Amino acid sequence: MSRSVLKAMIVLVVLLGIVGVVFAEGTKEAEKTVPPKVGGAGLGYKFVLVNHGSSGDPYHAGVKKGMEDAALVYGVKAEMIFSEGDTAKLVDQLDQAIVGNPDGVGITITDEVAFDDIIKRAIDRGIPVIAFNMDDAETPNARLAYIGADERKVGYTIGKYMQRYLKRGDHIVIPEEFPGMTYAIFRSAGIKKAMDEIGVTYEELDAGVEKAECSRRVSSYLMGHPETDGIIGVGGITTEVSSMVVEDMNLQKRVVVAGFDLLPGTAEGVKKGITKGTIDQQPYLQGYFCVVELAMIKFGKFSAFDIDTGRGIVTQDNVDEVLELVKRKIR
Amino acid sequence: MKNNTSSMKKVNYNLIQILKYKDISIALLTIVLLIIFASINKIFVSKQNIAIILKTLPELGLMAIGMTMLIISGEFDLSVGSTFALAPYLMAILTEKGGINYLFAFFGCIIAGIIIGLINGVITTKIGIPSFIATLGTMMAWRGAMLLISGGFPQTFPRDVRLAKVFAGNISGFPVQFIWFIALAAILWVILEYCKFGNWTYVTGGNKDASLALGVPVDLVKTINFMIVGALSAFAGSIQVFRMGSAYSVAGTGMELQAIGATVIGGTLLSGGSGTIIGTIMGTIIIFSVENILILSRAPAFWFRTFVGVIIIIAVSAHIIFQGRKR
Repeated sequence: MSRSVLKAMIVLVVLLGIVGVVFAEGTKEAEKTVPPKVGGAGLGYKFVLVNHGSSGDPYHAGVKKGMEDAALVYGVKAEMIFSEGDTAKLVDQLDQAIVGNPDGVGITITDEVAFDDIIKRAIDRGIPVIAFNMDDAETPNARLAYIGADERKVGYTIGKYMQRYLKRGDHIVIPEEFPGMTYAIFRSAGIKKAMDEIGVTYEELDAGVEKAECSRRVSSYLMGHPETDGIIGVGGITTEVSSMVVEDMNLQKRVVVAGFDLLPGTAEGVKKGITKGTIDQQPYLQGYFCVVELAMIKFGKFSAFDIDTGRGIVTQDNVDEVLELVKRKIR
Repeated sequence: MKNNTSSMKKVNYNLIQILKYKDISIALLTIVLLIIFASINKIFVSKQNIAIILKTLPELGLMAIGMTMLIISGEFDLSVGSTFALAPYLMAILTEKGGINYLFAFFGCIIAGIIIGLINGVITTKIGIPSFIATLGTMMAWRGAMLLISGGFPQTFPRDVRLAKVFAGNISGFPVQFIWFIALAAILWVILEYCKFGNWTYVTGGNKDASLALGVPVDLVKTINFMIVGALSAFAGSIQVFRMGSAYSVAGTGMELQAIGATVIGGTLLSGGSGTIIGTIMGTIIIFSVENILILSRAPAFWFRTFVGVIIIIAVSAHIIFQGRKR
């Protein structure tokens, strides 16, 4: 390859980089709001939030945005580390975060025992630890509070809500992005409990997290199980894809959809009446209040307290006003 | 009696020779599997089910045929999944936030894929880093760039614009993207089988030293193949965006291995120098059909990954036995 081609390639790479950074900065500038600083402002606290999720998951992007906005409001530094679904890595990241001696730590507790010792060690060293998004509510754990949805409860909530669209003898499928992960186990357990109450049968489906994969598996399931009357996705991707599949297969008169989160396709499905309801776990609040509580604990030695963020069901009645907030990346 | 035995032997010998001819064994294997699947469940051959397969197959298929060209020339590209996500995201953000014309943004998406391929090619051929490592690095780098630009949030893209209909609409229920897939596969097949560049691709992967001695521009051939797979991954990603109405950061996750899987099932040697486009199409069809029939047939929904894995091993083993190869 000649020198001139190499030079052209280097220029292209630099250009691509500049375009990327300009877009990233432009986007950030547009979104930046600088609200007035309040309690604990400017004290320079440093918090680390360790998250089991994927940095590319829109849901966790919302959690991160909430964290960043709260850090601006309270004048503290906060960073979020992602383990991309790997629990062992999450444990190591928490350990490393505590070694850095931060002023407070947030953690998504994805395992009932793996985090217990490290969290206790941090608390003993005077580092407050708050659980967000996922909690260890079943066994003893030293974390000070939990901010997020009760997974079993939200599963039951959406199942209970869907009882009005289903009847005894109906059948639903519960597609899951990550079968076996705590959120999927607890949410599906809640959904199944609500279905048992009205005599609806159900089956879980390993749908995968990649949209193309998820859509062909849900489509295949509906083809092979024509008796299916409803789909309740346990996560954002499965809920979004299910709505699109039902529309593409023209089954909206027979198959009702429900699930979690407000990805663009889900919002469109709610507006069209295909998706009857979706639980908004308000991820923004999880990141926001995690920083607020940690700041308040350091600032005024306040006691930590649990916050249930998973109470909102978005339906056709309120989807428009929620969508306005989605555009601002708050919901 | 002796004559009968010798004529039987001759027929068997001829049959083995036919099976060894390039794509015959994989095509036969695919047909046999499809017949078995159709007999297991009649829904498998229903119009609606076929439409589902044809609608979703091009996204992996486009990536896989590009990967075939590259693997034949002796290299890998693990960054295809990241390209699948990043290039269409740029298209969506250019149109929705930059106000740029849909068609120009689409061309920008394809050019981004080509540039990514060019970078992979130059790193591999000029710096000399094995493509497995080089593209592992770019896989992470491009995914990171994607997150930097998007902040993890999805970017919407209208599903009802003409561009989306042209590339991912349907004609009387038949998915347009499958026509694009077949057209592009046909072009690559012609290039590979009947053009000088195809010959260069085979000899580059088969024996690098010999091809250098023959005057084949080995580095250029590999770089062009990296650019082809980059462009096709970008195109595949844009089809998903046209179909789903949003571009998101985790798109294409794990698709690099599926694309390599489809290529290998189709008979392409991982060591390079051998493989066909038709084989890869068959490999992609096998992957999709196996998964589809398992769900249609009410196989336990949590077990079908295991079934798919086992059936893939059986399919490749059968292919190797027909071809008489050991890897």
